[in-house]
Amino acid sequence: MLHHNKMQSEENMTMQEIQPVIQLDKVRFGWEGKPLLDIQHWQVEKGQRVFLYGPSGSGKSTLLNLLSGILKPQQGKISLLGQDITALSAGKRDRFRARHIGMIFQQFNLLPYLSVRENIELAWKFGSNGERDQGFLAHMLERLELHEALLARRASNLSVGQQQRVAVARALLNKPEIIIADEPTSALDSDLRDQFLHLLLGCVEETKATVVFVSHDKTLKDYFDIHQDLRALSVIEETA
Amino acid sequence: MLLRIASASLWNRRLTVLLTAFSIAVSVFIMLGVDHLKNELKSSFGRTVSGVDLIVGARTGSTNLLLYSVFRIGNPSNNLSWQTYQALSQSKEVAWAVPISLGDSHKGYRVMGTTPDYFVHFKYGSRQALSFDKGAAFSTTQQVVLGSEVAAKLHYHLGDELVISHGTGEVSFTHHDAYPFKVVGILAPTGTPVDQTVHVNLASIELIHASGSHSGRDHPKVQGTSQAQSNQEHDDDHDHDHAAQGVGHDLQPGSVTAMLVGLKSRIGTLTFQRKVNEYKAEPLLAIIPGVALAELWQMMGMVEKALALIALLVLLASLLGMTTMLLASMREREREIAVLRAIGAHASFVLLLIELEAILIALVGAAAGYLGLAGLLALLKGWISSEYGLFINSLPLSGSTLGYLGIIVGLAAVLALIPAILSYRTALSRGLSVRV
Repeated sequence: MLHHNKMQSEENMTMQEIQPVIQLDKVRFGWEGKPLLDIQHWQVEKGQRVFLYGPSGSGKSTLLNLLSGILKPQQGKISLLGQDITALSAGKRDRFRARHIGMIFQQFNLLPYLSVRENIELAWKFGSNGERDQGFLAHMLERLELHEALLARRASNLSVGQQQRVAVARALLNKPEIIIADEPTSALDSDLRDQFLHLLLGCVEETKATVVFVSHDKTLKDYFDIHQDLRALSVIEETA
Repeated sequence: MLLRIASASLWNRRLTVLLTAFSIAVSVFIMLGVDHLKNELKSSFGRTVSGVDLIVGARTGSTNLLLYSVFRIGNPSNNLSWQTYQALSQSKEVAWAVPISLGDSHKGYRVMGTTPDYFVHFKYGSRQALSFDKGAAFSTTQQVVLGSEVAAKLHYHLGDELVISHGTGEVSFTHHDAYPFKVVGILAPTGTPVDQTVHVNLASIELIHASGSHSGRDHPKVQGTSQAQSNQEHDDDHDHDHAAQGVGHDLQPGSVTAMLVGLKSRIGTLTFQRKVNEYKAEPLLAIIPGVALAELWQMMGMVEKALALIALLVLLASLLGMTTMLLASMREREREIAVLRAIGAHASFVLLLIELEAILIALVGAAAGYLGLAGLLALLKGWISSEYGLFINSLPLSGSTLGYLGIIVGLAAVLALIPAILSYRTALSRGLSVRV
């Protein structure tokens, strides 16, 4: 029930079974001629939970922007769910992101002036074909302990912990195949952090999504199947 | 959803947004106000005289003649002799002719000597005749007909007596005390200078100047010293009264200020105008009121253009203020943009969002400016007409008004392209990383 057909065609559906969910080949990206990322090959299989760590400045944000299709690499190919997103137009990449990728940031995930419910349902506006799975939304809200009374409040009136749970609900609303989380726990204290990770990974388990979790905090790595150091992945020749 | 986000975002910044909308409202108020007043003035201007084919006076500028004969502004430099008046009014082309004589006043209101025919032939607006609110036209030399404003302001009623002063200043030291007039008629409001005029018989003008002292006109001080003489004259009044009724029309003035002429056929207007302008016995000027009004309005066109320009500059300033406000908020809105982009919003969604916000601000401002002006006019209409004799119609929601409002909203949209395109480009290049 949770993993029903979200692909645009049956053909993609079958390809997904064979192909890795994320695949990068010879991807290069730099700002103003200065190379920042140079990834020969990297792939993530379906259902994997990847812990990607690296110090600040190692190109984490850039990699996430590339994976989400906001930025386009100067060279190389990025395939998500068998679709080469570097071949898509900017508009199609936005559409792809809305339907197949859920993103969670460190903080400021919400529009402060909208209600919690409006913030969550925003994902439907961009990522659904008009179908709105109210049952799934109710289930997620319950799972994430987001009670009815909270939904009518302005997002800016929530605590950071509550805001992060709302962000999870929104990221999962369209049941995307890929979840990208960028330091989502760094604004939380340690108790809340463990609670949040349990909730996030529990929910993701239900939707069987693939997770790429980026952090500089290595103590979190035990939650994940695969650990990847970005510095080992992206080799930049310092002679440049 | 776009509208919901835009309005919620604006409401979130309501203080600056409302101030910006208010500044747009003020400029819309000024712009529409100037335009409306201009239209109203122009129409009330055009309404001042109609049904008169020519105005004839001593040779002077056509604007000058129009100003003193119709608007009671300024003073005639010269008069028209009674012989000429009679000769012209008996011309075969002339259907009717009404003399007018100016130069005296009553508490700041101009006194005009004329004949009862004036109330028959003078027309205003779209050929509306003067009508009496109370009473009727004067028939003797001691009766007076008041314009509606004169009666209202000075609280005169039928039967009241008043005295006319020499000269046209509000404060005159020379009063024709010896010759009081009785109010016999009050005219209905017209929205023209007629409302501010005290009408007396042409013969009365001659009488008052003849009665006080013969030299009163040229040496006003004499009158004060000849109090005895005045009293003596006053004693004569009873005889005079009888005499005046009979003699009134025989009492011929030496000259009049101007004459209003109606022709038998309007086709001959230009021919008759030339004939008057080439009159041998006396240098004369004949003007066609419509043409002279148009000339005068053209002179005022400069002022009108200057006002319109100022209104436009005020509008531009307020719209630039709005652009600045939107630009200043872009920095704090980078997060919003990042959130929207992450959910899958295209960069053009951000562009549309900012455009929509600008349009909403402009709409609110334009609507507030319009309603403010319409409300104020509705409130002050009565006061303006009683205080200034100006009849201002309610602000219409006409095509041209809507056009103005449309232009304002359009301009706002164009100016908002600056912050909109800037944030569009930011949305495309900056990515999801936010500078915290």
